[in-house]
Amino acid sequence: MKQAIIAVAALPRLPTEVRGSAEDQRRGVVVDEGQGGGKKGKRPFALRSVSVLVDATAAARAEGVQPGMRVIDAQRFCPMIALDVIARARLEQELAVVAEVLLSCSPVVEPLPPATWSGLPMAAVALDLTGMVRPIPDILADVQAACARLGHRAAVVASPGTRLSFALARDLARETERGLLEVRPKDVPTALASLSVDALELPADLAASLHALGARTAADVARLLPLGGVERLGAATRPILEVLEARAAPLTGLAPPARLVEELELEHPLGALEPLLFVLQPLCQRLAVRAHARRQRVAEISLTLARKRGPPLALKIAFPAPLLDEKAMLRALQVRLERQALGGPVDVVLLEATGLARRGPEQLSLEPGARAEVRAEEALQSLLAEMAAELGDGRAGCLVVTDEPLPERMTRLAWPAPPPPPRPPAPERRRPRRSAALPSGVTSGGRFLAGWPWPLRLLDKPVRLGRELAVAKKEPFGVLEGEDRDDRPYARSYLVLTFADGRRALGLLDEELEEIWLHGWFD
Amino acid sequence: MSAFPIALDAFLPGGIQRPTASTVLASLRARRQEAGKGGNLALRLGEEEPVRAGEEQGQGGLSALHLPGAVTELSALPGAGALTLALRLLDIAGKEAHAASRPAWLCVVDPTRTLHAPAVAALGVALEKLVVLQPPSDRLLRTAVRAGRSGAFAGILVDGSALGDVSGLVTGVRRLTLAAEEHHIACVLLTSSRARRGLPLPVAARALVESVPTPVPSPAPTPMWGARREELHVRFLRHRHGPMPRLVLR
Repeated sequence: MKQAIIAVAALPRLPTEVRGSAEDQRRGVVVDEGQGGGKKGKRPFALRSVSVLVDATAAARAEGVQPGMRVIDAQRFCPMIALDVIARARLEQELAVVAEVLLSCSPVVEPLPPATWSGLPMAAVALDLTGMVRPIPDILADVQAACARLGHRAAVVASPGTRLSFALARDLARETERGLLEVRPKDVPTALASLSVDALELPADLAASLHALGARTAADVARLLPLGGVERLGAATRPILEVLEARAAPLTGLAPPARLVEELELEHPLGALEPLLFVLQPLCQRLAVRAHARRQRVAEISLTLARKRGPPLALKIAFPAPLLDEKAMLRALQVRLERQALGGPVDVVLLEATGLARRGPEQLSLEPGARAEVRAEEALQSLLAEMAAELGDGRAGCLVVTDEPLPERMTRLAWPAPPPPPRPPAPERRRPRRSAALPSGVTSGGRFLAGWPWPLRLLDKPVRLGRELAVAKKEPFGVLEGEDRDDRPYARSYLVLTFADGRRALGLLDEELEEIWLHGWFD
Repeated sequence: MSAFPIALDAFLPGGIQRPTASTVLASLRARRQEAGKGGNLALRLGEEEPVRAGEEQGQGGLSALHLPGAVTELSALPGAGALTLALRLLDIAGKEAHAASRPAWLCVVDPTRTLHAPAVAALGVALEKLVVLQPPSDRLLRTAVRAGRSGAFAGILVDGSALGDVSGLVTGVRRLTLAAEEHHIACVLLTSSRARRGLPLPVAARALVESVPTPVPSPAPTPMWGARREELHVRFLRHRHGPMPRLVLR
């Protein structure tokens, strides 16, 4: 059986990072557990002096504040400390997003929120790396980079045991906040010798009694177990044994949510476009990172700007080619927002990927220039997204020849899609189209290939030729007869007009009025 | 833009990377001697002699118009054949980029929205590699510059033939030139020969494209003749390599 490898990414500063507090300000975070009781249901959270800080900024820590302190104790060290309250649900939601992004590193990912945020919590995400082909240190670096893209610092540890990885990650996070460690099976005793007892998540009284016995590390506890330690530890024996023996507990895989939504509630309403774009930039980035981790591309986004007073402003942008470039998304949003007034201060920004496309496997060629081609295609997708937002639908894309009988409808702009699977032949039309002048067996879409070229410039609507005197020569080009897609009959006589200076145009003869209409240029 | 014509490079002594005054003078002397023997297109400077674009010329005789990393302006009236010529230049740029393992996408900025897909395909241009942007006329060069800066294209065709006044394009063309230099893009700008002009546009070459009826009566009309013209005359009004002779394309 293959040796299991479980990695755990511990996020020591998650509350501060979710709150968005600046590290140079003296701030602490208290979590609203959302478990208010009372007869009438949930009570609002009340910040008390005995509430416990779960995190503090670097400036507050520099003055002696530590996570786990009561508010009253923190205020003794730092009287000017400002306290932020954050809901437990918000933290767990962010932890789920981190786990979703880490799906790009492992197919089995499980968020590990702490049971309670009132002690010394540390949220973490576990990844099953068993059987992964890439070197483990590279994967651990990727995990850390993925967390960093979401703005989180992470200490990542991989070992054969789930609880062992979690304990080592917590211990490492307390020291460095950004550490990487791989513990191989032969290195487990060494790792246990360096793992402090505090990292084993023992009850406070039990940890104190072990400390009184002289146990400082997990290796010391392992030596105590055969000497009556099991009886003394009681119910805590099992989790401790799982750590000491490096047992791998199976993870519960995360199923990513169907909707991809990023929401931000603003403390101060925004009424101008520039700060709004500043707020939208991280939302676009998070949306792109999440879609990338799900192996998807964003084909359509919708933005809702909600207000406390007045109706919300909603807009939707569909991209010609699904993309993952957050800058292109932001530019497309900017172009659309510049065209319309915000209409009042915005309180909530909600960005949702309403259209997602599957991202196929990327086959990288070994030919020279293959990487440049991939980069060019990505740049092209970004450009088309911006242009689609700026110019409108159907104004950017590749030329596509449609199978329409009328020449002015033969051209369409679209992004070339992969060829669809073959379909059974369509039933014959009730009245098949006929064309008197065209050779038989040539479809209308392929007419140009059979020797019937159309002019390079074709006007959408013909214009009446005012000065026929300039026309030196008129020669018949062809006659089109048939029925269009709406079963409307048509009959057209085309001419090639040669002007006195040698230029040539496509003319349309109106036989009733005996007028010539200009329909295109052989340019 | 280099101050030395491309043709001089062949006469520079080997091993010299940057020409000095003495090497340039020596090259000029050698060039003059070569020009006395007859020479080729690049050496017959200042002479107005039609050159038949044939098989002996590289790139179908369009090498004087194909300037990667620069903007070439083609002035013509509608129906004179400038669009065909520009699309051929774009096709050359795409093929060169493909051969050099660079991105080979092509772009047409078409505010008139008149480009006809079957005719473009009949020219031999790969439609799946040709991106068309259709901005309003007032955003013509802004869109082209944005496309150039994306770095995804080997050639960009900017169709300004519907503009009646090109005097306001100077700044945009300058920006387009910078983007073309940075990403080695062959840019072709189509303008109307009747458009009002102010300051000259900062392009590397400007040519007037005219369709000239042939003196020989054309054969009986066939379904193909409508898209072809007998002769296309390209008269250079300016070129970064100096005066250029007239091109006659068949």
